[in-house]
Formats: sequence, C-alpha cells, structure tokens
Amino acid sequence: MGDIISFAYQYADSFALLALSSIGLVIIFGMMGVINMAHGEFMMIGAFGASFGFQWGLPLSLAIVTGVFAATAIGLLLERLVIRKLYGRLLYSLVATWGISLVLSQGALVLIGPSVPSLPNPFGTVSVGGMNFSVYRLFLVALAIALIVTLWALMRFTNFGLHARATMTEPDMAEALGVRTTRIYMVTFGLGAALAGFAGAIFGLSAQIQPTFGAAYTPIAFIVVVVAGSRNIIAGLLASALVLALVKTSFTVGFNILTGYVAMLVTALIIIRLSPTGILDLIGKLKALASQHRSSTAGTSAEETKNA
Amino acid sequence: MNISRRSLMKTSVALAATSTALAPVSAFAQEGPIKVGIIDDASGDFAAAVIPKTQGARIAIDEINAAGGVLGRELELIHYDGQSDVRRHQEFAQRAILQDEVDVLMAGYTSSEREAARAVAVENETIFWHNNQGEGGIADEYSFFTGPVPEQQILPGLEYMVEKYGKRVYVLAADYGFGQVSAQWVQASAGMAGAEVVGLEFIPLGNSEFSSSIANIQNEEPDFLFLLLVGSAQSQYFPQAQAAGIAIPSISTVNLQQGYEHKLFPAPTLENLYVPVTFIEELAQEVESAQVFVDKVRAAFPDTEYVNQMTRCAYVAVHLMAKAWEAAGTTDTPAVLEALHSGLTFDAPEGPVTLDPATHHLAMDIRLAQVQPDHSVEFVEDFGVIEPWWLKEMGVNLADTPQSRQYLPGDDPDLAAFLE
Repeated sequence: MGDIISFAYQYADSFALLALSSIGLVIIFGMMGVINMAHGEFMMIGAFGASFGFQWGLPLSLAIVTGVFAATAIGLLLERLVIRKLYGRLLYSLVATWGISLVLSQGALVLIGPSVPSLPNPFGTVSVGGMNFSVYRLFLVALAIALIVTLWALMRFTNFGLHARATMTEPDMAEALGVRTTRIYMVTFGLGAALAGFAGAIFGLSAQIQPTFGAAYTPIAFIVVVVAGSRNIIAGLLASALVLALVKTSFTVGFNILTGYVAMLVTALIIIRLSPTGILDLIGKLKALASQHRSSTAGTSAEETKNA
Repeated sequence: MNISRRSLMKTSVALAATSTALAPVSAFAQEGPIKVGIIDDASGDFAAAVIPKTQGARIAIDEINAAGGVLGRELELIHYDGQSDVRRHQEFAQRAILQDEVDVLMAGYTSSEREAARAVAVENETIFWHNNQGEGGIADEYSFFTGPVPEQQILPGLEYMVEKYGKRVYVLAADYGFGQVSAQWVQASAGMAGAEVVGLEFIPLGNSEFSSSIANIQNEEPDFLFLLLVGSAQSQYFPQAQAAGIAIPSISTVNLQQGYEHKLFPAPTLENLYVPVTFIEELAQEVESAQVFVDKVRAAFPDTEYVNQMTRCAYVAVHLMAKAWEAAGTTDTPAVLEALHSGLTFDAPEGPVTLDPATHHLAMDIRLAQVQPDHSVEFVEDFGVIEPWWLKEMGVNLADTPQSRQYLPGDDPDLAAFLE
C-alpha cells in the first residue's frame, strides 16, 4: 500500500513538472508554430522577477505576479521586435530565438550576477500512511491541472479563444472576417510567455535562481510539446505529459534516475516515429485498429452463428 | 604554377624583414610579464560557484605585483571563460599553452573539466594546478593540487558521523568521474569505520528531480546521508528533501563550501549538514588570518556573494607558484618543478600549508563545519593538519620518480576489500 501511494505521488509529481515546464511552449510552438528556444529563459525571467519582487518586500503571491509581468513584458517586446517577422518561417524562428536565449541568459549574468536568493517555500509536509510528502509538490500537481483546465476553457469558450484558433488555422480567412490577427498573434505570444514566467516563478520556490535556471527546462518542454502535437494542443499536452511521466516514473522507480530519462526519450521517439503528428493521432490510430479488430471478430462470430 | 624569380626574391626579402622585425619583439617577451593562465567558468551552470575562485587568483596576483612582482617581472592574469563546458576547457587549454604561451595553467571546476585541460598541459609539459577539492589519486609530474582529497575529507568526516549518528549511511553522488570515485571512497571509508552503505544512487548531472531518491531514503531510514551533489540543478535536492520532511543529518564534501547553498536557499533548508572544510567564509569567526583574507576579498570585490573554498585554493596556488618561480630564479619548467619539490610552505587563510613534494598535494588544516537552523555555521571539530598520505602509501614519490596516472580506491588492497 505504501509503495502504491509512493508511486502515485512520484507519478503525479513527474506529471506536474512536465506539464508546467511545457505549458508556455505548447502555446508558442504547438499552437503558433514558433520554435521558441528562449522558452527556458522566459521561465528564468519569471523566477528572477519573483525573487526581486520578494526582495522589494512584496508578499509572495504578488512577487510571483511580478515575475509573470516581467516575463510577459519581455515576451511582448520580443514579439514586436523580432518574432513578428518570423511567423510561418520555422527555421528562422529557431535561429533567432536561440540567439535571444543566449542574450537573455548571458545578459542576466552580466547585469544581475550569477545568482539571486531563492523564494521562501511556505508549504509544509503532509503525512500519509506513515510517509511524508511535500505539500509544495502536491500543490504543483493541482496547479498543473488547474492551468490546463483554465487554458482549455479560455480556448473553448471565449471570443479570444475562437479568434486565436481561427488565426492559427486560417489567418487570411480570419482577417477577412474582421479578426485583428496581428493583435491576436501578439496576445497569444504574450500568453505563452506569461505561462512560462509563471511556471518559472513557481519553480523558483524550490530552486536556485540563476541565469542558467531555464536551460534545463527547454529540452524537456520540447519533448512534451512535440509528442503533444498541434492538432489539439491542450488534450495533446495532457496525454503527452501523462504518458511520458508514467514511463519516466516507472523506470526511475524500477531502475534509477538515468534509466528513467532514457526510457522517456525512447518513448518520445517511438511515439513520434509511429505518429509524427503527435500522441492524439496515435491514440486515434490505436482506437481505429481496436474497433477494426472488434468488428472483424464480431463479423466472424456472426458468420459462425449463421452457419450454426 | 609560375613563380618568377623576381617575386621569389621579393618574398624572401619580405620574410627576412619580418623575421628581423620579430626578433626584438620575442626577446622583449622574455622580459615581459609572467603569464598565469586561468580557465574558470564565468558562465553556465557552475558560474555561481566558480566566480569566487577567479577572485582569489586576482587578489594573489595583485598582492604579488604590488610587492614588486616575481623576478622583477609582473604577473599577468589571462582568464578564459570555461562556460561550464568540457570542450571549452580543452580548447582554451590549447590556446593558453600553444598561442598565449602561459607560464602556468590553472583550470577546471568539475573533474571532467579538469581532465580536459590537464591532458593538454601535461602533453605540453606545462605546470598545471587544480584549485578545488577533488576525488584525489592523481600522481603526475606536472600537476599540482591545492584542494583537499578524500583522506582529508571523506575519511575523517565519515568517521565522525558514524560515531555520532550510527552505522547506516545512504549515498547520493553525481554521476560522473568525481562522484563515482568519491562514492567508492565513501564505501571504503564506511567499511573501515565498521559502517554499512545501505543505499547508493548516482544522480545524472543536471537532474533536479529527487522525488524517487527521497522516497528511497524514507524507506531505508539511514542514520545519516553522504551527499556528493554537483551543480545548481542537483542542489535542488536540499529544498525538496526538506519539503518532504527528511530530517536526517547529512555530510557533504562538495556542497556549501563551493556552491554556498546556505546563502541561496532560505533557512533552515540545509540544517544539520556537516562539511569538512579547509576554508569557508565563516572560518573568519575562528581564525584571525581567515578574517584578514575575507576582509581582503570583500574590499576588492564588494559584490562577491561568498568567499568560498576555491577563493582560498586559487589564492594559495598563485602564491605557491610565485614562491617557486622566485626560488628557481627562472620560469623554465624543470627548474620550477625542482623548486616546487623543495617542501614549499605558505600561510594560507586557515593556517600554514605545506606542498608535499611526493604527492603534489597540500598538508592542510581540516575542520568540520555544521549548518545551524538559521544557516549560520559552527565548527564542531578540528581535525588538525592532515597529510595527503594515501598516494604515498601507494608508493608514489613524484620528487624521485615522475609518473602520470590516477590511482583509484580499487588499486589499494586495503580499500578494495570494502568495494563491491
């Protein structure tokens, strides 16, 4: 029983980290098609902003808001100056945002220094079945789920969501119908930067905040988002994080941390190989296969009955 | 190809002119500054820990220059940013030695960075210094070390923990050269102290997720933990363990003294962490000369985040090299090596140190620091001066017989008996 609780906790923890690391990128890359190599740096800016906010004497929640504002502001600025010129030019966006990521992390090192103080962690410990768990990590799980639900509602039920989806799928048609696509692009990019900044600030509660803070998250976020695909980014993100976290946790618990990472990467490779458009299409294919199998077996049994 | 006699003449005249023009310049270079080449990570994952190291070298060089330099020549610091990258270390080592012709090379934070740069130095017969603690065992004609080695940190530290807390130890070690060799030392030391390693996990560099390790530790309930975590990503273990309610005492030969995690994480994240140290900023509470050193660093670098072990190591290394150059009367490597084998001593911030001619390591004072709930540090044990004795026990005497290899715990039958 203890083992099951422990596994469930680790699985949820791993899911939350994957989902939160990639939630900004799923908008910017998954939805808008901009390969944003500076994703981790947006997270870094969120964490730095929150640390500064806290040092200025703001309460923790407002300090986190400061971090989100900082990441959003820099995201919007970059959208205006650079990203705007790169929509639909995938490889250009790769090179440009990689350059931006180097400038941001090195700029932070030069202007601010090698590190700033971490944020205090107000969460305690909870005991279940004789085992202690971190309330902070459980909070991350709740937060990941809440953000995914909110994002889904935003895209599904609001005018902004409708216009954004229209702009991303048929920009010319959307514009012809009166949608201000340049504004939609800008706001959507800002939303992605804001979500990255938020995740960074939240992770800053339990990490050293340094200019290289975000570098570790960028590759993980890309793996999750590529596996998620671009058909339905939110369901894709959910499925991708759930599956990858399950593989990673199983192999980490069964073997060790390194094997966990390797297994996750191999799984991502297999999924992309089988279904280059993402995990949802793979699930669709599997479902189709299963129903085909069912109908064919159903057909045989029907024949058998007839023969009898 | 058609080369006319005239153009050939022109070329050779030009060449002759260039070589005569160069001659006085290279003669002047002989009288120019003595070049101290340093490859330190000023950016990347290790920057926060390594930036204080470069400051230690700068202070030593400024001090020596203010006192008239060495052999009437100024010391010149040539700093290359290693970018926390092994390949950069190799490239810059080549540039420093082959192009900039440095007189000594000091490089490497991690053991992999160190080995990348050291290989180039040894190949080109250039004197090399590694200025932080390490996994030890390197016996090499051209390589010198100012940081403590396992017999100076792991052995006495582990004995103390076993005596105080009990015999069951759980080890988390960074998964690369330093971590693996150090983990062997922990196993062997535990064996000698009659303790048992109940768990050993290698953590990939850059990993920042510890929920599985924490669950394993909670299951195992060891008496204490031995932590060999490297880099800022791995240091996230501390807040995660604390958040999960782990209150098991721990010991580390890496953390705090390099990465000053107790200054970066809010108290009491690192409560009850023990660290065997030569020097950390808090030693100023105990030792007058440490206070003098800290004041010096803070006066020169008011924004410095922490005066760490490596600030002291780089400082000591530059001073010992200056002494060797003075004693040799030249910067020619064979003569300088001979001077380095003369049993040089230096008043380090923590007390006098001696450069052991046989092993190229330092005999130095070691104290055990304990982190308090408010993240202040208390020194709970003074081990006195510890010799770098292990390589001598392995029959190494670099002053008599030059060699170049790394000895591992498995090479020592006394230690190998305790390894799996």
